[in-house]
Amino acid sequence: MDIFLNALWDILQPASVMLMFLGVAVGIVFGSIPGLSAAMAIALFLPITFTMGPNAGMTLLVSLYIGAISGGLISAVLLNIPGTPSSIATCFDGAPMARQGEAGKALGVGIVFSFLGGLLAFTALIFIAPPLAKFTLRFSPIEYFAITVFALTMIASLASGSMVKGLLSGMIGLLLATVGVSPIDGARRFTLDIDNLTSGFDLLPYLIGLFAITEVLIAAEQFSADKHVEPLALKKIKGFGFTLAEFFAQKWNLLRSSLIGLFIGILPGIGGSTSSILAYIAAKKQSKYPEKFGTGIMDGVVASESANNATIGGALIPLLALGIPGDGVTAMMLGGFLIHGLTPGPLLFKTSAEFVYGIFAACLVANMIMLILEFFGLRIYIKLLKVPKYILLPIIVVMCVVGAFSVNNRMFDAESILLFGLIGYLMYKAKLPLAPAVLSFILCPLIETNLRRGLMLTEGSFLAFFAKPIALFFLVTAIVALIVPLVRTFRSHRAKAAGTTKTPVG
Amino acid sequence: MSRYTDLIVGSVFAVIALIYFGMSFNIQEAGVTQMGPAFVPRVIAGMTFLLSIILIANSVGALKHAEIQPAGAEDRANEEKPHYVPVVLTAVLLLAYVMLLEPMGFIASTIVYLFLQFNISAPKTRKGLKHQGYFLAGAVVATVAINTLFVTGFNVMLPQGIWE
Repeated sequence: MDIFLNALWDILQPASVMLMFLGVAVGIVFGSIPGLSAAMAIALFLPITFTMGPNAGMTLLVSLYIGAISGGLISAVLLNIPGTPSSIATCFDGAPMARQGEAGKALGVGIVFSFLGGLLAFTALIFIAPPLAKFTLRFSPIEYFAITVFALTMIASLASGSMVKGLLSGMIGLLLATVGVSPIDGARRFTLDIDNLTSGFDLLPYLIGLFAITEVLIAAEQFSADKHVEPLALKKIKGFGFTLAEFFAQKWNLLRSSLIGLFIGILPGIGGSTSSILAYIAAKKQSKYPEKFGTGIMDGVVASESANNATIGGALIPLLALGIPGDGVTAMMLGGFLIHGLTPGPLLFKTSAEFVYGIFAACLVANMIMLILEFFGLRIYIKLLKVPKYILLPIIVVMCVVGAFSVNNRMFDAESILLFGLIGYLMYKAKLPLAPAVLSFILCPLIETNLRRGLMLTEGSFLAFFAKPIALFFLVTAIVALIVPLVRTFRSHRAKAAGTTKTPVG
Repeated sequence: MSRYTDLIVGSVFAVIALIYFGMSFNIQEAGVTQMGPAFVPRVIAGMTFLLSIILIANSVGALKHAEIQPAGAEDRANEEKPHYVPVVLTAVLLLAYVMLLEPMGFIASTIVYLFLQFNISAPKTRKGLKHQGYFLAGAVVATVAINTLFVTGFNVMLPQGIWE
């Protein structure tokens, strides 16, 4: 507890609070403007954290993450377009509320319940992560290998759409991650005698290219179509726009949705968009008036917004306790740790406890700042929604190029973001999800190092990996997670084929 | 294109996997551990090839299915058509920008890049003479602001080029 209070005190210093205000404010801007995302905000700011200490750097990243996820609700309510995928379900009732002249109330509800969902999840994070880290301290490279493979498989199979495509996307990350010097024995691999490739592709240009440049190229497809939508006007509201009675009527909805968000966040590969939709469906099923959902009631906004913010706390649990990111954004947070020479995981709780608790404190304070900024700065954010994307995106591109260049002060990194942006765009056209490619790129060295260390321990026997109960559990789960969807796809293809051969006859 | 996407994607991955597998034989074995540095790349190549074959098989099955039951014209009409000219122009302009960043310097190349990119990105109704003035002013202001932020704020030495 003392460590936490000390960390909280450090976080509450003026410089740190100012940094968090900046992070949350920028995060909200990225979250509220459709086409800009939390991942893009973090990709853009990762190189900037390079010049800061690890505490300040991570504080900024956490603030961006919290701001961006909650900022999505602004455009979801006022434009009926989710600013981030996490706010999809907010549109269902938030937008109808706005059309009925209740935009202020919808935003007020969204802001307060985003805050409360986040608060519940961050409290859970503080209580769950340390004991989990203590438990995983006993893990050998074999267990780590198994968990990493499990995380990768889950992400690929759950990401979206076809599992085979999810896995192929993961393969792209693995292929690119093996370029450079190999772990343990330092052999050069796939460097094509290019000196700049000896140290492999740098993580930051990879993330910036894949997330930011890809988004710009995707946006370019619609440049000529002037689809700018004006946000709805906001009437004057009192407080947050709802009564205490209305607030207390949502207590079970809040608790249920936050728990769904937290749980979904802990599981790798699912993310905020699914959690908000699941919470929305659960709220509708449990409601006494399910027929009113979708017509503009606050219950829908409460479910979606408390769940998507709770997902942040959930996603940070495996990242901090195991060093395994659950989605694209936490993968980038992991990148933030790595550039400061810190490896998240159980050891971090032992060697840099004050740093970990600093992140916990930053989550709580940034959540509070989000509440303040969204309440008082709402009108400014609404104005920002009017800035055309054809002005905004090229400026973001320049910042990406400068950011990539500043990592190692070499042009090669700036050039490589183009390559990764192009790869990301082709992946988008091929309907390959991006998140598995990011996670596998980060996890590949971890998988290879732990596999090779594990094989040294077992004198070259891979079967011995299955003798360890925890490794056995995760490896079997990974295999099941791979086989079940494959069998399902195979069966559905057979059923379709059988159906089509019958149809012409019948 | 969309009907054959998976088939093309699967074939491209199969070719990449084979090339990658072939290249793994150029890795010099250090002999430090029982499992050399080429082992993991070969496993990755094998898995990629296997997955690409599954994708090809699935897409061939889907194509056969589609031949019997062709997709409705309505579905295709509902899809929003992407415009590839601005995508190609944006990519080419970006490449030129990155290539000229060092010889021209950050300030000059960025002003030119932003001005041209604003013109590519803006809708047709916003490309008049008045807007050209706005674009130029926006390009100069944004470039100077980013330069000040990174050079003064974060001590990043950006390429000076012709100003050196």
